[in-house]
Amino acid sequence: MEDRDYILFEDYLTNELDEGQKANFEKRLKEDKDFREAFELYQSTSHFLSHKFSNAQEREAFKQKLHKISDSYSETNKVAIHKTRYFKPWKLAIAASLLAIIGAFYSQWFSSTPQYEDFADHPKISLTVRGDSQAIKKEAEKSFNTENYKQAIPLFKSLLEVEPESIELQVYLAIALIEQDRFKKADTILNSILELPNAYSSQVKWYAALSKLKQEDYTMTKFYLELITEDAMEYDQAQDLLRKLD
Amino acid sequence: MIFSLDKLNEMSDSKLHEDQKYIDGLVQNNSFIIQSIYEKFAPKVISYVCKNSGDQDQAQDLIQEVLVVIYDQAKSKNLQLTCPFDAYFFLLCKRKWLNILKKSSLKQVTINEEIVSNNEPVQEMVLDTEHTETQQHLFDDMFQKLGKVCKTLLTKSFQLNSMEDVAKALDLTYGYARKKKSLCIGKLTRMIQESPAYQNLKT
Repeated sequence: MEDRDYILFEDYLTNELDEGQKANFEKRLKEDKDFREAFELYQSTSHFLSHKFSNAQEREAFKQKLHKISDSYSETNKVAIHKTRYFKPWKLAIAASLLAIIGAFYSQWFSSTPQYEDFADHPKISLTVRGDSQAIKKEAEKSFNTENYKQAIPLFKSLLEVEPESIELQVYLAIALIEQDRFKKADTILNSILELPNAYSSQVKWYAALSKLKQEDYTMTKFYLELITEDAMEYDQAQDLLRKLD
Repeated sequence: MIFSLDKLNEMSDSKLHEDQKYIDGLVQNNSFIIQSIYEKFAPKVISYVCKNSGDQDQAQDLIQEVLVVIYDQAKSKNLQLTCPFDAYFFLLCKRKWLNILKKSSLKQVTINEEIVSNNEPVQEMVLDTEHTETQQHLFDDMFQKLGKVCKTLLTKSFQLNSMEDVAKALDLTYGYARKKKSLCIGKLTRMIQESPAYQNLKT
């Protein structure tokens, strides 16, 4: 192709051609195989460059998060393997029998209403934040992951001052608030997130339900659980909790 | 045709699988979904790698690499999953692991297993994803071989919002910046076309 062809490709892709020029260009695309192939490659190359440079920061953030989740998964997994190595089958049988006996007594003496603690199994978090907040970020992660929610709350708040639009940080703050029984603030955050479509919608519904469960407001717990759709990751546990509430 | 961006249209007839939620979660960098991918799908891959001359750390690296490949496919090609995520992810991991073993001259390994799938949608999605990955590597390699002027201009052109901003940032006239951008992409396409790897991709 000549230099003028590449200039034409760019003009076509950026809508710089007038109607007549555009029609001529498209006619040539149909009739000239080499021209069409060169254009398709030009288009693919532009698309590649756009992906490479426009998404560079986002992609890096994704890779960083992946790395941290992978490390955290690896640690948990190794601990699990280590623990089971020393747990002999006969011990398991005794433990199972004891659990069955305790369970039988428990169900006789206590109400079967599901408890918040039975369902509040929060994931380990790994944050990706912008700017100079690395130290606070590490502290926030550590506090949350070691269940020191009281300490985590102000840390999430200061991270949110830098990134007020981060839904991820808002969700973690809401979880920490629920853990500290600061329901009003937690519910306000969760409801405001739910007003807009976002990637965390089903998780937010789940935590809104857990907040209500902890407050023993079972009607609202059910309300939020029923919002969780079948395709969501939280659907099975939501259905399980709904069954236990009936 | 191989480099056409119309894959989405071709696939629009196929039914989107409910596991698309994992793809969307990766694209949205959703921690909950990424963690659930690890919990649900990593053990199978780790077990496979450990049974085939690898260890847990290598398996973890492999998983990360494959998840980035899926992320790229989703971001650049609008990946629409028409098969279960498990099958798609596991086959990508298996095939990549086999390639790693093949490249490692120290290990003579035989894997007595099919690394193709009998399931057509899975096979098609995996091959398409691998094709995109190979293509990206080729484009990347060729981009690195471009001259400094073209590299800077193209980087700015796709980082900044408008060519006016690019011209301003590089102290060029708007007209020259536009023209130079076309010629630099043109040069890159010629380098890609002339590379043997491009011919392999076409066949």
